[in-house]
Amino acid sequence: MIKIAITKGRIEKQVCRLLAEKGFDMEPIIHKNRELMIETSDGLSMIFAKANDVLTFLEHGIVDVGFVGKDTLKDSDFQDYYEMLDLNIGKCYFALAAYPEYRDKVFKRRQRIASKYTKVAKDYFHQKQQDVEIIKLEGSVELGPVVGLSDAIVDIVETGSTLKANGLEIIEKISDVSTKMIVNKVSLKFKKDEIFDLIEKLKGE
Amino acid sequence: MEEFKYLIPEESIDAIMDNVSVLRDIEKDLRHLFVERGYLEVLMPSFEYVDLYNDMDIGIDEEKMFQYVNYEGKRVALRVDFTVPLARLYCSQNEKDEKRYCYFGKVYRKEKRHKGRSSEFFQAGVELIGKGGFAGDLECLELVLKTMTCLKLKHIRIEMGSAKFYRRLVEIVDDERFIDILKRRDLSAMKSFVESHHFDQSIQTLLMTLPQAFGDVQVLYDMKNRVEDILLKEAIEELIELYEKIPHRELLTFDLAMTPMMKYYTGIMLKGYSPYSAQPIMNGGRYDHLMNHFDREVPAIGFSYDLSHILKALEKEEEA
Repeated sequence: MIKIAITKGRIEKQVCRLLAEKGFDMEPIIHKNRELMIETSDGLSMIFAKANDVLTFLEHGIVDVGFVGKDTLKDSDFQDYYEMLDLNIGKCYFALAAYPEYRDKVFKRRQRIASKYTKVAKDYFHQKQQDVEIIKLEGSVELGPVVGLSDAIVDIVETGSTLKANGLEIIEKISDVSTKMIVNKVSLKFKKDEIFDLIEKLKGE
Repeated sequence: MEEFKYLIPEESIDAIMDNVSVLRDIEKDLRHLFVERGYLEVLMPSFEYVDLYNDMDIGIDEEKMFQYVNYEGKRVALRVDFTVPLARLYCSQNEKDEKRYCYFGKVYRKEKRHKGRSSEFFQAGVELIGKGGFAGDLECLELVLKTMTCLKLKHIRIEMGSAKFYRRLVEIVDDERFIDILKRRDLSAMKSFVESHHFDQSIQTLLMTLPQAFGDVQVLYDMKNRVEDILLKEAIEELIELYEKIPHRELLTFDLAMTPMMKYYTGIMLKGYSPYSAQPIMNGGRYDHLMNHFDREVPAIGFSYDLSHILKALEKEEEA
């Protein structure tokens, strides 16, 4: 039995569709109501959780495998897992975005950057050897420049339509994001065959 | 301060009450075994200079240390590891011969808040200093396998890797990105990494199969036939030789993709796992260059158990 945690919402839909395509029995998932833990006939036990909680469950060995976006992994301090497979779904990217004027603006003070992903934002500017002030926003990060709270934002971009609708532009692409299969390090040792079997099926073209 | 009357700081671990006797029993059995084999028990200081750990570049982040500035204006940390202070002890006593130390005590490493992790770890371990090569490895590994009965866990597995194998591989591949890919066992990234380089065929196959190169001794035999590089072959043969010489090897497994947890590991590396612990219950390895820092060239090897993890695993194993 492999225990799996899947990020609720968009990733859940995409991963379940992928598992169904690869021949896994997804009926119990499709017909779930409000149950939090579901077992399938393929010997998978699944729970659905918020992205950061997927990491927490994996860290404590509650689940063996997690399906989670690279955005969450990049912004987390917990790194003690194997990131074994890129599922090539849920593709988007991290970007620095702002009003077009930002490009040529010379700052005489510390820049202010709004982001939900504070670690990603910090690492990005650190690598550019720039010192900026980072302000955490939980959602609709685009509001930062719109209401004048920040000079720019670091956020994940899928289509870019929200940015466009608010007159914001992508200043620089930072890194790619997609959904990853991560594995608890101890689980891999005790459930090698089962986990590699799952990997092979997910990889199979 | 009234409202803090019953609280403990987040860094503290909960008081252990139910299992103290279990913990002490394990300690007693381990101590008996260690002392019987000539290991001298040492009570190490709780405070060490931050610089000692930093200068020796052991791979533990400074931010993980509990620090303060002492009266000399120097930064002092609560002990984060036993191996480094014991290496210092060996050198400062001007020891020349083989020395066997064992220790029981806590190490302190800051953990992130609200993650359900504690910052205090009970460790029990040994350092065998001055005995290098195969003989040292064999003595250490035999002791590890002997300790198994002390731990009271029913399901346990000891895994061996090779820092020699790892370092030679890093040298051959010669691209920093490889280290991170191997650490994460990222099959997707490994594939594109291999495709973007022009390695010869045997290295390509090696890299692609490496993330799966763990399990029983067959893994070593398979890999030995596959690698062409002499130094890689040698590293694998070392592991095979140990395996063939050791009694009670049923619990031994191997992982050629193991990366050094401590930067100072140079030869064989050891890990112990329980299916009921999300973290390894034992870590160890050979560290032949650590004492270069004290201008000494002394081979050494050691391992340590994390008794807190073992206690938790015991509880869960009983429930299961």
